[in-house]
Amino acid sequence: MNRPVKRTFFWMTVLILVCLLVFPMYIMLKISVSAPRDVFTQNPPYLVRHFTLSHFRDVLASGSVFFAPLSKSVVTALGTSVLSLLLTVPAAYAISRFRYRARYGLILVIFLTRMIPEISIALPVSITFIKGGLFDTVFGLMLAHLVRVLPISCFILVGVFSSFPKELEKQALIDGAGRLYAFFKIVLPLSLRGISVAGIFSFMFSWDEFIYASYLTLSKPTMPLKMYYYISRGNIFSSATYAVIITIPVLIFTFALQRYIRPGYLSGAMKG
Amino acid sequence: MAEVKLEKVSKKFGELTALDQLDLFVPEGKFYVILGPSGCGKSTLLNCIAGLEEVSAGRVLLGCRDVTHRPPYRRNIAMVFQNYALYPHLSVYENIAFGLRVRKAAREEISSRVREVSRILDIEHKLNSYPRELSGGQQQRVATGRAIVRDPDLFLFDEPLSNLDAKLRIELRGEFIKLHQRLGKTIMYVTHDQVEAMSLGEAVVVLREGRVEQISPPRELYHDPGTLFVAGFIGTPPMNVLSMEVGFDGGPVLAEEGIRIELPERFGSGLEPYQDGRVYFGFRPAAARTIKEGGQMNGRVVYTESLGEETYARVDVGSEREVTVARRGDIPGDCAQVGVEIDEKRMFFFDENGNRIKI
Repeated sequence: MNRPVKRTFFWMTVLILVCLLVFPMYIMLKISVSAPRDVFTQNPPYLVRHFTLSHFRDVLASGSVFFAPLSKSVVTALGTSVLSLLLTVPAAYAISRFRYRARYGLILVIFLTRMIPEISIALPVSITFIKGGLFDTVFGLMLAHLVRVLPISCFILVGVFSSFPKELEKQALIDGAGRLYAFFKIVLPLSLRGISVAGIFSFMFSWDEFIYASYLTLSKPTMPLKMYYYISRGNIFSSATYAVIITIPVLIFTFALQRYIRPGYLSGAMKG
Repeated sequence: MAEVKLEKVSKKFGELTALDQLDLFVPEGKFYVILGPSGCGKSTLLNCIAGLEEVSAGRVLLGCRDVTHRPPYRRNIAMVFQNYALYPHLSVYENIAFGLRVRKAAREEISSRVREVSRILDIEHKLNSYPRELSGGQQQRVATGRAIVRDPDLFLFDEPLSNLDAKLRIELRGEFIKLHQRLGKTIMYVTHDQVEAMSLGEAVVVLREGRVEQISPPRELYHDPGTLFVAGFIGTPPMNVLSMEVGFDGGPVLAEEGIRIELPERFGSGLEPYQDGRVYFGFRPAAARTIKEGGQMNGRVVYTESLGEETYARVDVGSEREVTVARRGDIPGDCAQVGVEIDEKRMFFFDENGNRIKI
């Protein structure tokens, strides 16, 4: 095949894939800004005929019905990512300093918790949480989300710390720093990008988490639960609107992440 | 200031033995160069002295202190790595000041020391730059500045010049010598570059497979190598080495497939134990010359190469054996038949284990 044909083929493939991925999101967005008569017809149009922001207005006007789940989701997600970093930064740093084989083994063990389906482990977890008084609390939900988040965060950070140039750390030790001082003054500041990637991943995992939230919640739902509430009642406009609101931070963070994951940051430290 | 003493130091990485019961003594204030091929344990040796690697056995002494099990920060050693390891998120000033800040030095002291050091190394105008904005030579200077700023007992340099181009390397080599004269501190300097070793060191430690092969002043290393390994490793072009059979025909004779070298009578007693056995016969290219006729060997010139001051001829002396010989005067060029005259005072003999046979 000659080059122009190849290029056309390539871009065609990309276009088809993008359409497949974006189309459901488009439908979600479309419903959230369409008047009901655009949706409740025999043949719903693909384009928005009657644009309206009334669904968003309704959701925002519903007061604590909307803002209570929003704040619970935000607080839980933020708390989960902060807690996960507090736990996984030291853990991953330690693991990354093991020899390669030991490191691999430890990561496998950490991922063992992910091998059990959440749907089956959530029940015993929630029973334990009820006994511990953590049922229907933000902190309890954070702990449950950590089960999900810690292995991923740890995995990312082991990669970050493993690729950290050993010489810089050695140099700090030679310069008279203890291990902790070297970690806080040299390793940590230079690994901030990797750490923020792990933090954002943790946030997003917690943000749209559903299973633990549904097991551990009675009266104070999170955003995904609220959305499910509307779906189960057939209110597709509210659920689409909630879906859009849930999606926005995920989109923003994904774009931010894409900028963060960039090589060449440590250039200038090493020669050769 | 401190002398360095290693007693039976071993370092193993799993199955691999990097240092093998190594003994070494570096007197106070001396500039010692550790020289050896890659993988001989040079860098491991420095790491063990610095405390970055725990030794598997043996003792490390600095001055009179046994520091074998002390962490690096309790050894007061400075080390410069091959890739400089400058902190990329800190300015040049902060890079140099780091070691002082760790020790919680006073602000004024840090400032005056950093400025003094940067003046010595001529990087004053770069104090606010970041490492990535510096040239290779400047990065090297910052790394050196970071080492000297906090007045350590011992300096360790791990191939600090190997990432620079040839011209800069020679320039900075001179600066290292001046620096040593100014500071008067003990320096251990690792390199695989024999020219660097010969020009810098007051003594050169040749390392081979985790053991000390020879410790000598550079001139002695060249003119009086203790082993075949040292003889072959030091000197450019390398020493000519021929494996020969020892015989006696009136006087001592070395023979091998058509090559026959008659040696002076006085070598007889030294070579007698090796009669009918084999020895390695070595001579430096500069200790031999091509002549029109005669000499100990003769052969055909394969090619000549000019290294500026000197010109060397590659001579085929028979049986696909070639030697490199200094070419003097208006000697015929390629393919000419020549004699090779070797300076009798500069002939070397080694036994089959590579140990020098003193004659």
